[in-house]
Amino acid sequence: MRLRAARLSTLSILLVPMAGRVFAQQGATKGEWRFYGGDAGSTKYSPLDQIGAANVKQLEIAWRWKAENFGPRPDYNWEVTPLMVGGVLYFTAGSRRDAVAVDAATGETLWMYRLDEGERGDRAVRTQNRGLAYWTDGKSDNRILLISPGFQLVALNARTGVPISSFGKDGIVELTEGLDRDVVKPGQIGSSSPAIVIRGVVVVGAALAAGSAPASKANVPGYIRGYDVRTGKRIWTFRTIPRPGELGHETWEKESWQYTGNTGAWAPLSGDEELGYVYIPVEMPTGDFYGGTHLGDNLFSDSLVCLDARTGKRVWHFQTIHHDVWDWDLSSPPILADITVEGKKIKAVAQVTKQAFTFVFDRVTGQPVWPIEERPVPQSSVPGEKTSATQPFPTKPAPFDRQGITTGDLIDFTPQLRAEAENIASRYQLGPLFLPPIVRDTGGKLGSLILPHHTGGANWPGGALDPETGILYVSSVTNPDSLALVAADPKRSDMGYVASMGGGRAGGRSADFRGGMPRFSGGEGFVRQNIGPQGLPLVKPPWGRITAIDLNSGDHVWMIANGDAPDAVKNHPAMKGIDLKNAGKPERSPLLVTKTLLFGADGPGLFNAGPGAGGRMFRAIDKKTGAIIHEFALPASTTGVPMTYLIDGKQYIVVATGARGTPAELVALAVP
Amino acid sequence: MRLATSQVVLFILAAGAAAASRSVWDGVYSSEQSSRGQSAYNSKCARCHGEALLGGESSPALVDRDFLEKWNGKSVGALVELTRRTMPSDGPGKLSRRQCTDIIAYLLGANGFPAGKSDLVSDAAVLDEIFIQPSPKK
Repeated sequence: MRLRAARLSTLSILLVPMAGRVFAQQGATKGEWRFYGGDAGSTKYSPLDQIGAANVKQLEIAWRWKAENFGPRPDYNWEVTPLMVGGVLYFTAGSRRDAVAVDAATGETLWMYRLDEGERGDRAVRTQNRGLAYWTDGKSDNRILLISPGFQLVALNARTGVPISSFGKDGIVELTEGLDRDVVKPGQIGSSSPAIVIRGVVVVGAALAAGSAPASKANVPGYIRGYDVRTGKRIWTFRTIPRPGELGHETWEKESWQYTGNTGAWAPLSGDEELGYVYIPVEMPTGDFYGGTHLGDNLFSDSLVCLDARTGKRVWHFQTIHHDVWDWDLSSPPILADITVEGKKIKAVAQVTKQAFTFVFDRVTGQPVWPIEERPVPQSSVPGEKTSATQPFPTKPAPFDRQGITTGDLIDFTPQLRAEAENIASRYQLGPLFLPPIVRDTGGKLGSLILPHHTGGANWPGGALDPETGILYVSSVTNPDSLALVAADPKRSDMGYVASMGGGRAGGRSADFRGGMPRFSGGEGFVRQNIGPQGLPLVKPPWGRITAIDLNSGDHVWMIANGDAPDAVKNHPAMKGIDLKNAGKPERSPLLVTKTLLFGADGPGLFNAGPGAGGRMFRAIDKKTGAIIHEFALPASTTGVPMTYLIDGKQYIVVATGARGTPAELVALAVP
Repeated sequence: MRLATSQVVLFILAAGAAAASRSVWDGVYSSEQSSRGQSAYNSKCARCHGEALLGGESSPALVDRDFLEKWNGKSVGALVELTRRTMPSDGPGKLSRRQCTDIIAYLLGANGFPAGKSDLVSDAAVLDEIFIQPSPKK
């Protein structure tokens, strides 16, 4: 044993100078997938290598598991990633978010758990489901933790699916209690992402209603809580909106801490079992585009917060945006990476963002790995608003997507399209990153054009990290949109100002309609529209991309487009004869990385951007170069982050799929 | 007698024409129906469009200027049909025509159009002849 340890350390010494390799953070182990993100560090990495460049072309569907009859209506946009423990897949399914256990080799259903929450479930604030958490005492106590749509925490026996009676009340813990509000109504708070268990504590985030045009500035705060995994007892609460006497309280002016809500953590969480820390990506406060109701920097909104998992005490934090008026929530799980920067080993954490930054910190101390500068930014002209004079800009890595918009960004496929794009852009205010929203029609402009906008950049699928190389892969969307505010009718909202059109597209939609923009896509349903000429994207491609970033150097390694253009763009009469092979789909490619390959996909294209943004293609990508090694069509679009595992000596990749009209299913891929 | 008959015919034609050109200001739905629509809206639509109907992340507002500008001059039938065909956006086609009509009755009330004595019927031919306009006058 001693000899073995000695050999290992020699190996480490040899490897470190080569590529900065330290193996503490190593992705999923033992051929399993025990956390939503593969490991507690959300690397989405597995060291499995059976499926490689030589045989990936032989991948076939091994089995399919259909979610159609789970819940009162089919789910079409299943954002789930199953766990795999001991040969069993565990996941949430359907619009009621049932917990399900399935044989990992065959897809046979082993058990299911259904909690009918009545009105509370029907009015759930978030119906998406991304999965479950798992905990074991290392012996015979194995638990599955489910957060229900109505915001209850349920502990199930992993073997049987039966609630564990000694946990909470008959296996259930009420999560709407302890939020400093007398009444929490059904549909106010929930969670679309799973909990994470670190050091025997179940850490729970929160998702609230979207705040584009809220009826009230008052909402429930999305505090972070820790529960004993054995008893369900609440051990601690971390107030993301600090009360008097707590750090950061003064950043909520005019007593706005009393009523402001949201400021939850709706993305998946990450943790480090060895350090005993959890890493929480916090979202913005109530009111996505107007902060006049809660002036100040608003700690801990948009902050990456490191908490001691046992006590909930803050270890460190970093606020990525002061007083957010762009809806640039931290929207993806922080990614843990052990890197070597200029010869120094660093246990790091990387946070990718909607505004296309990668913030990298020492995850023990919170010190930025590369300097982060406060730089002056444009200021708001909206009455009652006061934006922060400066915002943080990482000096490294470079942004992974375009930031801000000028006329140089407008499409120029033909002179006519260019002229139309310029005409459309002239109706908006253009500017750099952190250009704030305007009141509609200010200075004759319909709104501010924001790039990346609130569904652009990186989002909940986030990135994936190869711990052997320290390379971070991140997918992002390049899609500008208009932000404009209108004075809120006091009968409907006490916010003062709310987003025009709700989606912040201002009068732009109707103005563009006059310019020939189709309002609805044919037949398939309502979709978010491009604001460019004739319903085309306004800015040049790529519209969706994958970027590889070496976290040891902070340098970009490569960037590829996320497939070709969406069908609606490819088939547009004005695009005839134009090469759109590397235009990319304006969708976030979900990413999985293994010892041998990076896997990506077109993305779902349901809510994100332009008509038909997603597609059915699934891709195996060369990790070093970004070259597509193999691509093939799945039965529907990839809607969740893929995962992989080994059972009976065989590697499988499992991915959730679905599309409008094609109910969700899990598809298992393997080489026969 | 012949004259009287043609007068009756004329009257019927005029009444038909009046019915054919009704607007949302003519009390085209009942308040009971609007309440039913509100319940349906709260469970099927509010998650995206907001309880106050002001819209959400990727969902337009269903009241006031944004909504009325978009629907000015269009028929209630078009609004019901679009809702039935495309909503909820993640799994359209699951709401019945009756449910959609109730929900639209709620939207009409929320936009300040007056309630009348009887329900808005779900018959497309009737709905297609009721028009959305910003003021009672033509």
